[in-house]
Amino acid sequence: MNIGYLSTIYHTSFLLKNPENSFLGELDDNINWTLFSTGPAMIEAFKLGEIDLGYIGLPPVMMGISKGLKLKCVAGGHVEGTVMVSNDSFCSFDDLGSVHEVLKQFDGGNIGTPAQGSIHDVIIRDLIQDLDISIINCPWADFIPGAIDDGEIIAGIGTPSLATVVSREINGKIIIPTKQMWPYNPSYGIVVREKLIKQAPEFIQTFLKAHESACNFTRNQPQESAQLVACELGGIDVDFVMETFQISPKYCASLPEEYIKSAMDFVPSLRKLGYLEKNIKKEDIFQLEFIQGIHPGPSHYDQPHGSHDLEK
Amino acid sequence: MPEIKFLSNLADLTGKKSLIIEYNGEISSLIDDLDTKLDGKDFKNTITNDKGQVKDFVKILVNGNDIRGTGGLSSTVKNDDEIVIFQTLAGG
Repeated sequence: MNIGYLSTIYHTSFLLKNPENSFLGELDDNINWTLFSTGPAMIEAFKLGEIDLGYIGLPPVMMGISKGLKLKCVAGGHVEGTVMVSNDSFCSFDDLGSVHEVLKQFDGGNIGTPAQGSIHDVIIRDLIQDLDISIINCPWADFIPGAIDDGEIIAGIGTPSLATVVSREINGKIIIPTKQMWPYNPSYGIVVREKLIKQAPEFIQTFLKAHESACNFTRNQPQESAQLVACELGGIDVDFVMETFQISPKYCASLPEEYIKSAMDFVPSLRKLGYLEKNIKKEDIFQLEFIQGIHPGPSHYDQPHGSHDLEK
Repeated sequence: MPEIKFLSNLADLTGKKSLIIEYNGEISSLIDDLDTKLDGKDFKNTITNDKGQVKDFVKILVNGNDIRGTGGLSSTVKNDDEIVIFQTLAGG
C-alpha cells in the first residue's frame, strides 16, 4: 500500500509510520509512505495511481471527485486546522472581535498560503471576496514565515504548525484563531481510492483501528504523543509539538454530522471560486461504515485535550 | 555562484539564512562541502540518514524543483542556481 501524508505534525501519520511505535503491527511491512507538500499535490498522485490512501483536507478531495476521481473519505482525524498569522504590528481577532475587521487591515496587500485549492487557500479566498487582497500561493508552507519577515507578504494562512514556526522564527502571532476561520472545518480525513474498499477492506479496517488509537493517544496523552512526534521528525523539541497540538486540540477519527456538514458547506464556496465544476453530494465523498464500526457513539473533537480520565 | 538558503530550524542550526559559495557539481558533494564549511554544526547528519539519503522531512530545492524528482543527490548545481534547504515543519 502506498500512503500519502503531509508534514502536519498532529496527523496520526507521524505516530503510525514509525514501526517502533507499534500502532500498525504487521501492516507496517506493506506500507510505503510518501510526503507531499499540500493536498492538491496528493490529489495529483491519486490521479496518477501513485497512492492508495491519503491524509488530506476535504476541499481538494471534493475537487478531485468532481473531476471524476473515485475517492472516499473513510475517517476523520482533526477539525479546525487553518489559522491566520502575521507579525506583531497588526491587531488580532481578540482585539477587533470580527474576522472582517481583521482582514480589512490587509486590504491592498499580499497574503501567503499553501497551494491553490488547498483547504487554507479555499478558506482565505472565501473570506476576502469583497476585499482587495492578493493571494500568493507558496509551494511549501515553510516559505511563509520568511516571506512575512522579508515583507513579500503581510500575513499567512496555514496549519497550527505554521503558527508555531511563525511565533518562534519571526516573533509573529495568531491573527485569526482556527475556530473563527471556518468552524469545524475538516482539516484532514483519511481518504482512500474507492477500489480499495472492495479490494482490501481488511487493510482499511486495520489501518483505521490504528488511526483511531493514535487519535485517542494524541488527545488523551498529548505529552507522550509529542515526544514520539518530535523523535520521528527530529530537529525540533517536544515543546514545539505541544504548542502546535494546543492551538487546535480537536483530534478524533470519527465522522460526525458536524464534520460532514462543515465539509458540505464548502460546496457553494468552491463553486463560486471556480474550483468545483458541479455540485457533489455527501454520498459522493463519504463512506461511513468503516469508522462507524470502529468508533461508534459521539465524536471527541470537542473533548478537552489531555482529558484521559474523562474517557474512562 | 549558487546561493544556498536555509529556512527555519536549519537557519538556526547553520547560523545563516543564506550563503553564496563557489561550486559546480553534484548535490551530494555540495552537502559535504557545506558540512566542512559549517564545521561543528553537524549539518550533514542533520539532513541525511544513516544510508546517506536525504531524510524524509528534509527538502532540497534547486531553482524551486525538489531534487527527489530530478536525480536526487546526483542532481547537479550550476552557477546562478538557487538552492533552498529546509526541514518541513509548517504543515501542508
